[in-house]
Amino acid sequence: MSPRLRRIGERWLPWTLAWLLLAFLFVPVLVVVPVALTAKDYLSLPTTGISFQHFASLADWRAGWLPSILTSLGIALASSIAATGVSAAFAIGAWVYAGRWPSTLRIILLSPLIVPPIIYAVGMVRLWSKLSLLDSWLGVTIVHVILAMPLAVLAIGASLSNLDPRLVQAARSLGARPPTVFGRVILPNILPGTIAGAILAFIVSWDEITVTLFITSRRLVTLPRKIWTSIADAVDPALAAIATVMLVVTIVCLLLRMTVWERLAQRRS
Amino acid sequence: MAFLDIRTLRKAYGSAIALDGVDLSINEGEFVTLLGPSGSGKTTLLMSIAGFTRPDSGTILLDGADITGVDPEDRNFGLVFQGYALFPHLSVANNIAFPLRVRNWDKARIAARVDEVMKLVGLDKLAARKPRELSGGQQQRVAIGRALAFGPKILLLDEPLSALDRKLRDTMQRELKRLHQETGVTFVFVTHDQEEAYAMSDRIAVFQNGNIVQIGSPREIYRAPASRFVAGFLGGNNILSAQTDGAQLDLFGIRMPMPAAYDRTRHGDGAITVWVRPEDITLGDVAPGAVSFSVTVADVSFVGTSERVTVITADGQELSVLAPSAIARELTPGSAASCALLPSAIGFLARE
Repeated sequence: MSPRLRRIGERWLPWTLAWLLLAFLFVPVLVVVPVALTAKDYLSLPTTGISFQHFASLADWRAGWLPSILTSLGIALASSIAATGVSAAFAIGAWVYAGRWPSTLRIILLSPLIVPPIIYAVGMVRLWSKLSLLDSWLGVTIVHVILAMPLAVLAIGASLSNLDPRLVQAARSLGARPPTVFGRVILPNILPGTIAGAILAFIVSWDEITVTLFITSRRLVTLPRKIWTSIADAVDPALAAIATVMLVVTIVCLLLRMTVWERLAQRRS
Repeated sequence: MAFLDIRTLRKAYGSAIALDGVDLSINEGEFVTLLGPSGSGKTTLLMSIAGFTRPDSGTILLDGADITGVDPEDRNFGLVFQGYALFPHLSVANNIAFPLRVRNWDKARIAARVDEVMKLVGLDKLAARKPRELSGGQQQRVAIGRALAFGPKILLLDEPLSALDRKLRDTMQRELKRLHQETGVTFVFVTHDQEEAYAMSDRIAVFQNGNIVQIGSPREIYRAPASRFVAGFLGGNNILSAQTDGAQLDLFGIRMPMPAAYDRTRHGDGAITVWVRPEDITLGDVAPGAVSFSVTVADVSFVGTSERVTVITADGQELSVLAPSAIARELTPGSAASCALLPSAIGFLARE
């Protein structure tokens, strides 16, 4: 093999493949940006002109996008806080009292990851109709908490697994009561994992569509549900506009995280 | 009345008995070592004193007050773990300040005390370091400093030196002894290493199967083991069978006058059990008053300061002898040799 060919094989080929793969992951997402700018009132590429009317309609309360964004935001925040709290309590308890019960409970808690959401949804419809929780804030939030808990438990459990359980005994022997042990010893050590768990829980709730479709109808419209119905009913380009907004918000969050991370790393060293 | 009084403490985990009615009295300012093989109950007793293990029955008295049901955070005992259990998110200074903050000391007093403790354990230059940036020996010092910072009534140490290499272990043994003398705090130290126990303790409590089988000063335990277990557990002792009619002793087929340590009612007669320390047997030369006997060399192994020679006596008993290298080097397995021992070096075990 000639040195030139070899250089192409060793350097350019993997490089090109990697970028192609990245493009494959990202380009379909980017398609929503031009579509959002179309001047027509159906999903299409902006061939006849660019317009921001679909972004404007997002801000229009009566179009239903803004209320559903706020609904999803509220449910996702509540679910995230509740799921993180319950998961942290469970994970810390299981960490302190290792044994048969914690590991059995852990499997039960992780089961929403294993059971297909559609089957879960069918079960929840029956249960919630008996308890009159269908189409209610509480009903959706409880379901989202249950669905988000496995990820939060895994994230918090992972950060606890690096922690020596005897720290609890050490702190107590030094005179710390349980609340102090939690606040000054356990929490500072598992904070990164807990924040990761809270973010994952938020995302699970923010994205959830399968079970939500079954247990809500007219009163409670989350953003994924709104997107779903707008695809089913009409091909409203506002859909692409909301996707673009979410894309931008995500990228901004990622950039923010990276800079904050770098600054933290600098301060630490 | 003793400072810390442990009375008939029992603890079982299912069918496994960890503590089988342990009695132990510790005086204020004493350095007591709980010595025994793993699973003999010494750590269970330490954790019961610390308050983390609830005994099934029995009482623990501190200065006459019953503390059996008191929570560990209210006992004011320092505890040092084998793996140190330092708080990874706190600096050395903040680790040491932790028990003081928990007790709501004011800032100036905490700063002064942290300084004092760091000097005491020799860490005054490492205040800002995190535990993961310290060596094992330094982490050990932080753990000890943290446990001493709040002026505990008792310092409990659970095999704290077992993770260190030998040289560091020797240094830390001297350090612990110095800290014990300087602070005057009562130390209760758990270990399975007899040399560690000899080097530091005022008294040693030897554990076997959830019970203390002997308690005494290192010299007493070494020189007068109370049972076959204690005699065998300490110092690679030779446990031998002998014959006696009460007036003369027959060991390895050699008859000798009965040593003064023999007591017929305690040690019995006929077939009896005796012990001889490896360092009390000589190879070759015979001291005045010593009895000599011929043996066959089975093995010679170098142990640093001397050689450990395993020999077989005429009546087929295996004997371990510590001999200077100059003499032992000449021996080859299978060769014949001559050993000697003073009858006064023979110890007797009570009939069990």
